Amino acid sequence: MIHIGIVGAGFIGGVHADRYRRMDGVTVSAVVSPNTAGSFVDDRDLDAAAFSSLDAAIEECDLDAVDVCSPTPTHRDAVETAASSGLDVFCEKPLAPTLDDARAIADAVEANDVTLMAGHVLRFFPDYRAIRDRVADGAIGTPGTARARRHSPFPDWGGDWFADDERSGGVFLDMGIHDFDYLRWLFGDVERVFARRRRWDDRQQGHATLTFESGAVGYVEAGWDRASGTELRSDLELAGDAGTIEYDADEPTPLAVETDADPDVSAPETIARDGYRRELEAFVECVERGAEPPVTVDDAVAAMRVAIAANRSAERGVPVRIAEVEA
Amino acid sequence: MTVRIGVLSTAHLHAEAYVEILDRMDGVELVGVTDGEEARGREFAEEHGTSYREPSALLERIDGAVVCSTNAEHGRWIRAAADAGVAALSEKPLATTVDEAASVANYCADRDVPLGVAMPLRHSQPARRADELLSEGAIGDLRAISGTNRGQMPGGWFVDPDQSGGGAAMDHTVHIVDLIHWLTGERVREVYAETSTRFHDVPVEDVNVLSMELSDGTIFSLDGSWSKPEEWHFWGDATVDLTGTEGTISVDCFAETFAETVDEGPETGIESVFWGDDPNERMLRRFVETVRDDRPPATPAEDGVDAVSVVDAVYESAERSEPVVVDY
Repeated sequence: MIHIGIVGAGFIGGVHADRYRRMDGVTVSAVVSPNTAGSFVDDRDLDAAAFSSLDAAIEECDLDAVDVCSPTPTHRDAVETAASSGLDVFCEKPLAPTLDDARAIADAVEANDVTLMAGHVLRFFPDYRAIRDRVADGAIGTPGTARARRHSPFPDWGGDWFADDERSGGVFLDMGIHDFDYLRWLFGDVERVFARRRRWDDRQQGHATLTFESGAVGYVEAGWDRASGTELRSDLELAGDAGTIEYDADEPTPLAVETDADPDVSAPETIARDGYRRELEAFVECVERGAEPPVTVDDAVAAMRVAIAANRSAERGVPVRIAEVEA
Repeated sequence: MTVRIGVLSTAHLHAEAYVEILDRMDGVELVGVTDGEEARGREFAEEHGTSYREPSALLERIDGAVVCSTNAEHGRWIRAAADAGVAALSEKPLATTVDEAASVANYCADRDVPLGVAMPLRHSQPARRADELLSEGAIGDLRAISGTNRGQMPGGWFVDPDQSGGGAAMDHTVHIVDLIHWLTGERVREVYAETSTRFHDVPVEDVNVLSMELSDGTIFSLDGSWSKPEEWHFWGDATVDLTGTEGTISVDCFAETFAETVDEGPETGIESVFWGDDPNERMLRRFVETVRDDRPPATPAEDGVDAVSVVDAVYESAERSEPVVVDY
């Protein structure tokens, strides 16, 4: 049995706890959060102990790994604490709010010889993964352009920290980073970024033009700009010299049910597009076998540099080369 | 009154659709076509059941002219129409440089001859509904716009820079830029462009990805690349997503299609067939009204000049690899 300690009792912590519960050979033994770990455990009826500090959880529970789901600025402390106890770590995206923190995380992982897997979940969604496989097989030929868009309401579940650029990194670092990482996975390293961003009320939208080292051009649009209560929407288009791929992630409806009685119908797992489950299964396998994680610290840092370049370009009004983003 | 219309040059692909629409339009007499290349014009006339006439003979017999030449030749045909006192609707872009666009606009203004530019998206019904919603304040104040106008590589003179003035940036920037100018009443203030040639072996750019800002600070991105493969199921697309402080509007001008799969005949494969309200037909009907009722053109020449100003800035930005402020 693999014993996991979840750090962070917010939205994503809940998503992960629900997935671990359905997996064999894994259990969440500890939940860590300054104030709300107890209610998190109670609300989900977890067989876990609640802690206000990760040190205490590590001391009292025989953990195998730590899953860091807390707000971005707290990642570094949590990873350093886990790594110094020799525990493998899953860390949500973005890895950190600054490259300094990200490097400290990378150093802690290396110095303690533990495994860190970064939570770039798009790589585990079967649709996005199948598209990547087709591109890798040459279906579209040499890539020319990409257009990836992702919109949601402002994430108001975490208090106010998402609205604070210093803590969340804004919509490029927190939201656009999904597509920055994904497009890097498909098209390779990015050479330069030009970006614009608008903010109003608690909302924002960013547009980033990426020029890859291959010469391909990508466009990433990220928004916390939709009406409250609406669903996350995303779509993707890739064009190469031999073909195109177009995908609207909201479109597939493998099962639609409308009845007078409104029964509780959930889709069978075989058609559930559950990237989180696949992602955490991959992490557990790394913990069990000590394998190289499918998304490394280096991948996470590289995606951060694209997001930081976008932030700087939007501030300065000029294109920013990734090579210049060192700190 | 019957309005007599002629087509000046058949170089542009759109001449075909325009002639078919004009031929069946009430209150319109399609007098014929002319062309700088007589053989091409005669062949076109024969195929479409209309007459070929020498330029001066055609201009003598018509009230309005639709200019379907190469981009580089728009000015020559527009000036000939103006000299004959004939109103003109020019294919877009009005010209390949802003100087020529302004010069031809002035030429018509000086002679008091109406000149409009063919911007069919202003006549797209989803776009017009969006215009109403924007004026009603349905989404609050505008903050961001994301548009697309992709297509297949058109080949022919479109990839000869001497005749077209450039590739995808020349061909696929002005439709959405003009639509946004019209919808918002703002102008593109600044452009950053990434252009290159990656899809086809052609001497002009086929990648055209633009990051712009409007005069009111709205951010505005546009992918106007020739990125759709030969085998694609439609000619291309025209979409704009408008984000405001209180909501969003998504416009897909050619969403109304059905799928058609054909096994036999000259064109096999799967195609999307547009069944919605045809913007070209509305545009041509409006041009006929311009001629008959002395209405100002739907897209006046000065708006066409503004769109070309943005194209100038696109090429300058691509050249300098930095954002460029548009000079109007």
